[in-house]
Amino acid sequence: MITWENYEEYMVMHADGELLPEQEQALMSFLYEHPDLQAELTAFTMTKMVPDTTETYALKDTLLRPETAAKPVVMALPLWRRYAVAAAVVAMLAVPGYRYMMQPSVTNGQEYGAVAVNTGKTLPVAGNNNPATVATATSAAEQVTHVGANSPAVAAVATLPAAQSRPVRATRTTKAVRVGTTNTPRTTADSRVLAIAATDISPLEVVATQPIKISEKNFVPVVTNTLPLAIEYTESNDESVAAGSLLDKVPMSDTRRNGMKSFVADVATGYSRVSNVTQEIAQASLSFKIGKKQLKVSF
Amino acid sequence: MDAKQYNTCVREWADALFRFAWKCTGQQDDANDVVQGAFEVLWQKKEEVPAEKGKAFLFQVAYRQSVDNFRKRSRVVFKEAPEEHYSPSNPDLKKVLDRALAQLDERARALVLLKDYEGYSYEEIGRITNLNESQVKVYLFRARKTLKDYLVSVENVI
Repeated sequence: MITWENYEEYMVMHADGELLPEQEQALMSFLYEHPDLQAELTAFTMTKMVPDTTETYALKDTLLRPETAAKPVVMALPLWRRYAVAAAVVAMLAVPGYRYMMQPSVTNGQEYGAVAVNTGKTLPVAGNNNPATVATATSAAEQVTHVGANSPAVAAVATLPAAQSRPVRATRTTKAVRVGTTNTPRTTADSRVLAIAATDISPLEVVATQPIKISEKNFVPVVTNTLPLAIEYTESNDESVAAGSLLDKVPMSDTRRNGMKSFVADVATGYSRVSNVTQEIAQASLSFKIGKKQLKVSF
Repeated sequence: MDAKQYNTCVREWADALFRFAWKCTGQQDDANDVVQGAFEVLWQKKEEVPAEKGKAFLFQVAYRQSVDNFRKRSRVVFKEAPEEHYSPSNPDLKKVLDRALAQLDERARALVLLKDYEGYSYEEIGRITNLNESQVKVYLFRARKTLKDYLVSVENVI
């Protein structure tokens, strides 16, 4: 309740805008009853200070702090991490496969290879001085997958003596030649890569190519793909074992195998992109602007 | 609060803080020191101060530096507005109010400025000045009454 003892307090609170609506109403009623106090309320209201906005702090810029301190490095790290992870994944997948694919196959101290010349014919690779080889050559159980053309590897192994060659039936190629060296320890007994005919594509692309399964019972040589593929020679009595690319050796469903091949192809593409980016980064110098400082990173 | 939010506080509140400190200390140089000191403290404690509390924190530091520093120096010297001859033809209320403000002690002056310049409520002023709401209400009442009496006396002179 507003009285003569506390009305000034209400007036101050009115000037400060702290009165509740009902208190405001009570004050107005009190002033209505005592209109001579209206001037005093106006005087209290006039004590409100108004800031002069033209008075500004001139040294404001000296208070500002750099906002990008160490942020470029933090922001760059995720990008580098992505490249690093991508490169690591590609390396983990590519390096072992590459080494495996490039490892020369040895059979009885000989390496075998073939050359695809797209003639549409299938020829035995060679080897007629070895009785065992001849016997094998006449057998339909011999399984061979294809070849690559005009590769240095083929050229290098083409100098092998024909007497030590094995009969090989090329399926996707029209002409198969023996490639390899002598006196090399035997590596695997059942299956081995005869050669990789690398032309213009990388080993990863070789891995990514479609494998060819050959059944010796209904063996029909058909040239379906001129791209070089890994040649594998399967020396096994199991006729159901078909030669193919690396992925064909892994026991899995065709659907999963195709998916894996697609994945390998994607990895090869990513590897190529990462390599290009890496080369570009190596050739160029990166620079980050941290505040007013320019940070240059050279490789 | 990060560096960006700190800089936002600088851009938004440096001028208001400077005006507040200038009115509190009465000296522009002291006001510059108060502003710099307040923002320096804010920068040092930016990890502990949320961005939305930046303004209140700045005024709290500025209030302490203005009031406490004046108490330590024992030099409550307010640069009063120059004496002028007030006539009906020159009723500059702002200058009269500045002179009236000089009549207040540093704490009452700070409370009035926090209320009028920044629009803080009694409760918010209490948090900034470390006073309870009743104390703020009492101090502001006395300050308003002093200012009103000064205005009335000037008008009577006029």
